[in-house]
Amino acid sequence: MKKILAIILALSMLLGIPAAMAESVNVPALTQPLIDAAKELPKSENLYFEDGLEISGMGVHYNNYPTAFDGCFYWPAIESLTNAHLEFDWRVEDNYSTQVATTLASGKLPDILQAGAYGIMNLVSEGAIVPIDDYLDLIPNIVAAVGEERMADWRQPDGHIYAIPTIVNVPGSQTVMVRQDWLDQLGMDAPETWEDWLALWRAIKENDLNGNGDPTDEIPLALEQGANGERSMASLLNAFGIRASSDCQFCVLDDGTYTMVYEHPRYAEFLQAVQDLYAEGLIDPEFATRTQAELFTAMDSGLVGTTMTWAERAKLSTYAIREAGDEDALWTCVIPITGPYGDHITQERDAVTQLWCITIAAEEAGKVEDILRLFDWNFSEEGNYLYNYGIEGVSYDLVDGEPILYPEMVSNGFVDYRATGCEYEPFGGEWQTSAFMQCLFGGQSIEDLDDASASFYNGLAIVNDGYFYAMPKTLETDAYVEFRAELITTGVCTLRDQTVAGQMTVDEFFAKYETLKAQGLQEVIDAGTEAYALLSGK
Amino acid sequence: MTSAKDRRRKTPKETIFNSAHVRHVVAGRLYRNRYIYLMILPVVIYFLLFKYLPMWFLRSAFYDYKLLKGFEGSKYVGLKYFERLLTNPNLLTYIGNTLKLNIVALVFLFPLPLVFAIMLNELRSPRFTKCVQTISFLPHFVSTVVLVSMISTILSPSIGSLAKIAKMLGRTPINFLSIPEYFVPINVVSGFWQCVGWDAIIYVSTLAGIDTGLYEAARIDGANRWQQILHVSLPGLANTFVLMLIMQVGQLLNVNFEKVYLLQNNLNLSASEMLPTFVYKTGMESHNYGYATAAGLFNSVISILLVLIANTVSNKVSEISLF
Repeated sequence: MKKILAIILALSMLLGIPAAMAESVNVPALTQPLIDAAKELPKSENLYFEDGLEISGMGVHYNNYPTAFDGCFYWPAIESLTNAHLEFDWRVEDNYSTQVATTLASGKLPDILQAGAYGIMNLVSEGAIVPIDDYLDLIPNIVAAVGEERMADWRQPDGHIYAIPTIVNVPGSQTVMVRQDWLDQLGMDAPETWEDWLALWRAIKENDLNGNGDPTDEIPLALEQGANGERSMASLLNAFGIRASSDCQFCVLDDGTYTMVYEHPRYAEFLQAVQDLYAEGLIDPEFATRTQAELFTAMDSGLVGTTMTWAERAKLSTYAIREAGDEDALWTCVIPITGPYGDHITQERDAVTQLWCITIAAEEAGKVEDILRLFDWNFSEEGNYLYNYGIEGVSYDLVDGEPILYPEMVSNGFVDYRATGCEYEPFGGEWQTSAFMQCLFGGQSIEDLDDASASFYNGLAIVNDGYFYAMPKTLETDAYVEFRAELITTGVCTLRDQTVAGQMTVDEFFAKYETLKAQGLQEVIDAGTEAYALLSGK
Repeated sequence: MTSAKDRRRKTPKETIFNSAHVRHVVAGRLYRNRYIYLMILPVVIYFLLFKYLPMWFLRSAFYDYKLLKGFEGSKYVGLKYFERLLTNPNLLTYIGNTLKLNIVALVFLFPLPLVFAIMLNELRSPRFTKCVQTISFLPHFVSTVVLVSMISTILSPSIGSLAKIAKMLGRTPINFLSIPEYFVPINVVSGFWQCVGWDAIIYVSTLAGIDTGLYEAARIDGANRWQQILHVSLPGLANTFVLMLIMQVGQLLNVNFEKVYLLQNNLNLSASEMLPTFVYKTGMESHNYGYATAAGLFNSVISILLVLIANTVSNKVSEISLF
C-alpha cells in the first residue's frame, strides 16, 4: 500500500514539473513577424560596428517585456542594424541591491550595470563605474534629449554624470482618485476644498458604501507605504504646499534652499493635521504597512474610497470591482487634494531617470566609447523609431510623416505593445508622447473610450494639468549614503509614522528629530544643500 | 646486554619506523571508519566554509570596507565604527528589545518542549503518540515568510479573522501589529505554535534512553505516575535541559531574524528593532559593511560572555556544564 502511494505521489510530482514550467504567456500576433523582419534589417548607415561589439549588462526587469535575446524583435534588430550584440542578466527588483552587492563581491562586473536601489554613489565609492561627462561630445543625441534645463537632474551630487538615462516626456503618472459611485450615493461632487475633502472622508467612514453590511470597513483615504514610506504622504504633503521629492524626504523651500521636508515651515502643521485625521479614523489604519499590492487588493475589494496611485489603477480597479458584481463601480481621477491654504499641487513624473552605468570592466576592455555610441544611436531618429514603434511596414506605417502603430499593437493598450518588445523600458530610450498616446487610446478616440479608460486618460493627461511641480531630487551625497538607513528610513520616517499613529506628540517628534540631527542628519541636510547649490548653480 | 636507559634511547631508524608505524595505524583506522568520516565530512566542510572562513572578514569592522576594492583598497578606520555604535543613543534600546524578547521566550517557551515531551512519553497508545508528535512537528516546516503572512492576515484590522470576531462582539478591531506592546506576545505565541513540537525531539529521545528498569523499580517501590515523572523522568532530563539552557542563554542576543524583520513596521519599531535587524539594515540596506560587522562582532562578544557566565553558574549550582 505504501509503495503504491509513493508511486502515485512521485508520478503526480513528475507531472507537476512540466505544468509548472509551462509558460502561459500571451504572445501577441505581431511578435514573430517582427522578429523575422528584425533579422533581415539592412545595416544602419548611421552606426555599424564592423568588428562587432559585445555588451554584457545586468539590470532590473519588470513589466511584460520578453527577456530572451530572440524573445522579441528589439535585440535582433539592434544587432542587424549596428552589429552590436547585447546580452543581459535581468534580475527582479526585489533585493536587487543585494544582487548588485553579490556581483561586486564576485569581482566579475558586466560592461553596463543598473545601480537600482544600491545607489549610483555607492557604486562610485566602490570604484565600480566610470564618469561619462568627458564623453558628452560623443553622445549629442542623449544630451539633446535630456535638454539644457534638465542637465542638473542628470548629474550626481559630486557634479559628475555617471549614468545613461531613460526619458519619458509625459508629466503625469500618479493621480488622486475617488470612487465616483460612492460620491453619487452620497450626493456629493468631487471635492475642491480641504473642507470638502474632510466632509467626503467623514461620509465614507460613516456609511456602508460598499453595501457589504459592515459600515466600518470602508477606508476613507488609503495610503500606500512604498519602499521607504514615501508615497504614503505625498498627496497630503502636497496639500500643505510642501513640494517634496519622490521619497518625500527632501524639498526646496521658497527661498531656494534644498533641505529635508521636516525643515519646511508648514511641516508641523501637516503632521498635526495627519495625526488628527488618523485619530478620527479617516486614514487607513494600516497605512504604515500597506504595500502597493495590498493597496490594489483593497481597492479591488471595494474597501477604499479615495487614494493616490498610478492613474492606470482607476481603469483596472474599476474593471475588477465590476467583475466582482458591482456594476456601478467607477474610479474617477480628480485634481490633487486641496489643503487648508488652498494649495493643490502634485509631483511631476521624473522625466530623466538614471539607468545604465558603464563599469570599470568595460573601461578595461576599451569599450566605453563604443557603448556610448550605441546608446547615442538609440536616441537618434533611427533608434527612436525602433524603440517606440518597431519596424516600419510590420508594426507601424508612416502617415503624413507621422508613425502610426498598427491596431494589433495598441488594441490591448500597453500590454501587447510591450510584449512585442516596443518601448523596452528596462533598457531605456526616449519614449515619445505620440507612441504613449496611441497605446493609451488603443486605436480609439476619446469619445470611443469607456468610462474607466476615459478616467485613466483623464488622470494621466488632463485633470492634473497645471498642478504639476518639478520634483527635487534626493541627492545621494556621501552623508546621505552613510546615514540613510540608520537616521532616515528607520529614523525620522519611523518617528513620523509613530506621530501620525498618535504614539507621540508633534512636539515630541521635533525633539527627537533634533536628536537625529545631532547624530548625523544635520550632515545629510548640509551636504544636500551644498550639492543642490552646486548642481543648480545657485 | 643493554641497559633500560639504552633501550629507551631511540635511534633515528627506530623513529622513522615508529612514525611510519603510527601513520600505518592511523591510515588503518581511517580506512576502517571511512564511512563514519564520510558522514561527518559535510558538517566539517559546512563549519569551515560558513563559520570559520567568514571570521577572516571580521577585520572589515576596522575598515570602510568596499566589496570590489577588498581590504587592500578599503580605508582603514580603526575603531571608528565601534565608537559610533557605542555612542548610538538607540543601542541600549536595541539590546533591551533583544533581551526582552528572548527572556520572555526563555521563561515561557523554553520549558514547554520539556513538558510536551513528558506528556508524549506518558501517552499509552504508541500510534496516538506518533500521530501527535507528527502533527506537532509540522508547523516547524512552515517557512517563516508564510508564517508571518498568516500572522499578518489573521491580525489585520481590515480583513483579519480577529477583526471579524471583534466586530461580531461589537468591539473596534485592534491593529495588533502597529502597537509596540503586542510585538513580544505575538512573537512568543506564534513561536510556541511553530517550535514546541520540534524542540521537544531532543527531550523525547532523551526520555527514550532512560532505563525502563528505573521506572519498574519505582513502580515496585509504590511510585505513582506523577512520582515516576518527578523522580525518574525529570532527573534523566536534567543534564540535557541544563545544556540546552546554557546554549539558549548564549542566544539571548540573537533572535529569529526573519520573523522579527518581517513583522517589523514603523509603528512597532520601538519594540521590534533589535541588534540583528540593525546589523542587517546597516549592512544590506545601507551597504555600510564595516559598521555592520562592528555591530555583529559586538553582538557575538556579548553572546560569548553570556555563555561563559551561564556555564560558570550552572557548574557551581548543578555541576553540569558545557566545558
